[in-house]
Amino acid sequence: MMKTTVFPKIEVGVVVPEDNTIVEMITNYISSMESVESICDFSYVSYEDGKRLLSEGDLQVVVVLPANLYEDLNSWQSVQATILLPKEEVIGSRMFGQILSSGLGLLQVAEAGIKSSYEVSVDQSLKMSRGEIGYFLGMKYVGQVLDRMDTYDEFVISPTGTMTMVQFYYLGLMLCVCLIYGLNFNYLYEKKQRALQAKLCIEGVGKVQQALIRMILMSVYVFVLEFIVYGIGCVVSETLGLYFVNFSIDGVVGLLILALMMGVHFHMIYSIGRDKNGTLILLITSILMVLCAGLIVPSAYLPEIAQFVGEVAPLYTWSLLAQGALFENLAAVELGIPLIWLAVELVIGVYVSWKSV
Amino acid sequence: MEKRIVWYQLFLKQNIKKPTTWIMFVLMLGLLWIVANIHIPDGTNHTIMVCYQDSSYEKEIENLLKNSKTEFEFVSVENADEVYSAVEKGRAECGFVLSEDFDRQIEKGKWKEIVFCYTSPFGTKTEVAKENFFAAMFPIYSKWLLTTTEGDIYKKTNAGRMEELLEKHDAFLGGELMLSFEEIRVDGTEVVEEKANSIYPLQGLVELFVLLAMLLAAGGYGQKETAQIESALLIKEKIQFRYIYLLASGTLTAVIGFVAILFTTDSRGVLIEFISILGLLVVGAFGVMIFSKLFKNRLTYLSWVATFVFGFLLLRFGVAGYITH
Repeated sequence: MMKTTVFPKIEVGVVVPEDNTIVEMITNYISSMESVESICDFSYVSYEDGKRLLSEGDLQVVVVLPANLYEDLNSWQSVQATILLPKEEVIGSRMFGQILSSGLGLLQVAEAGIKSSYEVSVDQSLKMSRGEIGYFLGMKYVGQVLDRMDTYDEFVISPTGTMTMVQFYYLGLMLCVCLIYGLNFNYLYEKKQRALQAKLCIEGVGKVQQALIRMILMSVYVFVLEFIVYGIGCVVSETLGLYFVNFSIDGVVGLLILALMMGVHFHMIYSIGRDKNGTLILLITSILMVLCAGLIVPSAYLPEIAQFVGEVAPLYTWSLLAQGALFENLAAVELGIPLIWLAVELVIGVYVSWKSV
Repeated sequence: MEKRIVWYQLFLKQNIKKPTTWIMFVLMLGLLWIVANIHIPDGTNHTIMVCYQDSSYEKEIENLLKNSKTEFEFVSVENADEVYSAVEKGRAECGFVLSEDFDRQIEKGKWKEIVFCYTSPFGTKTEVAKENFFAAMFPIYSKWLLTTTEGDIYKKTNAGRMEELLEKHDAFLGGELMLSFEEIRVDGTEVVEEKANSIYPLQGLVELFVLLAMLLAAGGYGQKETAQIESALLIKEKIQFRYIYLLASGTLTAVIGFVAILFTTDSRGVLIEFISILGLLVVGAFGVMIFSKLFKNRLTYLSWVATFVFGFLLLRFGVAGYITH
């Protein structure tokens, strides 16, 4: 992110000889190639306009093709075209130069193959005429060049796993909102609540029961918030045609489990922190978890230590659970580790509450 | 004036003694280290990983790549996992892994899906790299074509003729291009590389912690003793007292953050960093003082502080630019 550079498409002006439909056809074909399309847009200009637009910065490259380009190439004569560039190039124009260089390399290989066959075929007994050799081999070379992208079997490695970027950030937003919301529960642990807690103890509602009630209360609030965000996500997904999330029972059940885990987590933090320190600890741990669990920047891009911290922190298990519930299949989610985390935080939170004065 | 300086010194000493101050320092330095070591796909990344899987064509393709005028840096690795990892972590723009039966498929003339291309959704130069790599493999195809079409062109096979053919082929490869381009440089508008986000995440993180320290101080942390003193002052002195209190609460964080930034590669220079952090302290303390007065309820105040923190993280990290990428 710190050195991220936008890679904008460059504008390439092409000066084509007048009334030369073959050259124009070839240029149209080249401009539609995926590699070319990924880095630039072509436009046809006159030489004077091209030079002016280049100097003004509206074009980054101008290619001037000679009038008899096709005829000369067809009759094996060397041809020189012209490329106008600014004194300082951008990445896009250097990449265009790279494509040009690669294309010329292909042409040179085909030329080498045909020329060498032509020379060696002198005084040889042939099945076809010497003139036909060029055509025969030329078609083979052209066929191979046209199918060159079939050479590759492409795999896209997404840092967000099976989630799309929209799903990734939607999930991150939901979890961040719920974490922020947890700071509101500070009032349940304020000092002035202790008189009430003492009264409840006298009435028979012990410290452990009070702790469980707080956890359930916080879980309910978090679940309502999650449900609202889930609902908004489903509506936006449907109306804008983004289809990144849809409503399902799996999603609701997953969010319910998630809410319970968050409620237990908040209770543990507040019990350890007590009053205002609990808020501070929750804020600090939340910032750390959000960054290390890969909610802002995918964890594949984080240093290994941060990845380790992120994977150990509860937020990571929450995100896996939510991902499975909202976008995939809840039944396939590994509930072992989330449940272990839940149990550990529950025990710690209840124990600290029980031991508190 | 002397009184204000004494207040400032006393508040600084008070902050040094607080455990939460040191927790914030450790957290800030830890996060700075993490952010400084984040590596996401970079538009200027020209590294392409290649795994040749012990192919006999490895040397030929490597030499062709080296001799061609390529903008990319092709790095050869031992196994496909290294390619995968490099692309996943954004260290390579993309990666090519030759299939295990690459040589056999070439000999049969089968060129379909013989090279695995690993790319990321953020790869902007993958298609160009594919063209470059294919151009380096094309001479191999050419030699195979000439060898296998002997029977289609000539009535009789001849080993000596084939040897001569391949020699001439290599000679022509090193010769002049049939189509060449003359480069002409034109004077004009200075080209400036656009940066997606002209942001400085490390500096932003330090700013966040400085503001957070002041916001938490304004929220009443460690303020029990100072509140008693503040209540005894006149209004004008009360405002000054509060301002100096907030200024002092952010000072230590600012100093440590400033020093840490200077040791990173993204430092904008001692003077600029000093001016920006000083400006933040002076203006930030004033802003926090006003902000904290907007909320009577401490819980509401803390919720807005948390919202500010997450919003600041998102904005300062330029997430908008990251999403559109």
